[in-house]
Amino acid sequence: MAQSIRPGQIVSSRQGRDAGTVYCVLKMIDERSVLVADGKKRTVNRPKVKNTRHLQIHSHVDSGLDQALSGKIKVTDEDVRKAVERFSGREEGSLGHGKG
Amino acid sequence: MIVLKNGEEIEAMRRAGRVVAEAHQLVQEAVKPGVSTAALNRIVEEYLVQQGAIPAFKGYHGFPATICASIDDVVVHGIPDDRTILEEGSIIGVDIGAFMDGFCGDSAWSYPVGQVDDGTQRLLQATEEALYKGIEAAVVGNRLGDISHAIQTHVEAAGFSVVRDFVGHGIGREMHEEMQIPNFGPPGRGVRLKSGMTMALEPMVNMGGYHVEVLPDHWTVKTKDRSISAHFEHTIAVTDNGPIILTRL
Repeated sequence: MAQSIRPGQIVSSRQGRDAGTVYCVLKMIDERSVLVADGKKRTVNRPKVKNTRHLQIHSHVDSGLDQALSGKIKVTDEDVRKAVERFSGREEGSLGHGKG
Repeated sequence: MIVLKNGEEIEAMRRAGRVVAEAHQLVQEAVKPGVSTAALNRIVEEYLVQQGAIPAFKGYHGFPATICASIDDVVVHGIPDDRTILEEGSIIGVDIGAFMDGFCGDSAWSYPVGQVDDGTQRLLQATEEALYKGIEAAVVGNRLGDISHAIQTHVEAAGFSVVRDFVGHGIGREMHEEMQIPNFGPPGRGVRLKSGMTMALEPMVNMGGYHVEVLPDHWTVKTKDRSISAHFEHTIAVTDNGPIILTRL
């Protein structure tokens, strides 16, 4: 199953003080680094630069954000928060604890 | 951190890989016009469970099936269902992953449904060849970029394009371990390859442009221009004696 590295990608930080935080990729800077936001502490206007080696990359791409970001449509913090929540809901669902 | 595997661990991965390869044999026999993608899913799931393997995709971040079934313009991560029926002249990419003895094997293959036209046949052939070009470059001392470059060069020489947004990956005790392996890029860049590295190489090749989009189900990836796409993947180990394909019988 292929991994993706694209805007709208859901990732988790593996290293740093933010380890465990789930983010959404806003933009690829280069092959090693990306801009990420969670819509809370790290906003769309103040995203965090992360080395891709320090991220766990999930195979989940939020299609709403993917289409908005690739279509250069303005994405809000609420959009990002909802994308992260949608993923977290699936995570819980996959473990049988949530609504999926 | 890239986890290097010792000989025993590579043997365990070979067992997982063998089960996946056997499941692919069943798929190859079953692919024909009129068969649903859900039927292929059932065949694979029953076989894996019967062999004592654990399907790797089912439940993976909510993915609902044992195989990914990607027809024509679907690049990867197509979700099988009873209403999607194979038609003469189409191609279907079937991706299968399984855990056995704690290790994962992952392999994808694109199959023609009945007779396909010459252009489609060339796409299938170029993509499969590109996978083997990548595997040939997976030797100790080379860099990751040498694999990527070998794949891209072969695909583009054949007149097709490689998908940028989805990549191969490290594999072992987890399906996705550290290492991202793009199917494009310059040679001589990236991590230097060491004996014991295990990875899934998987060129995704489009007949048209390389851009893709993700559908609202959050999984299905289609080509943006709706051209058809092929996908071939093997799990391999880099060793001092050259690359070993773990998902081949």
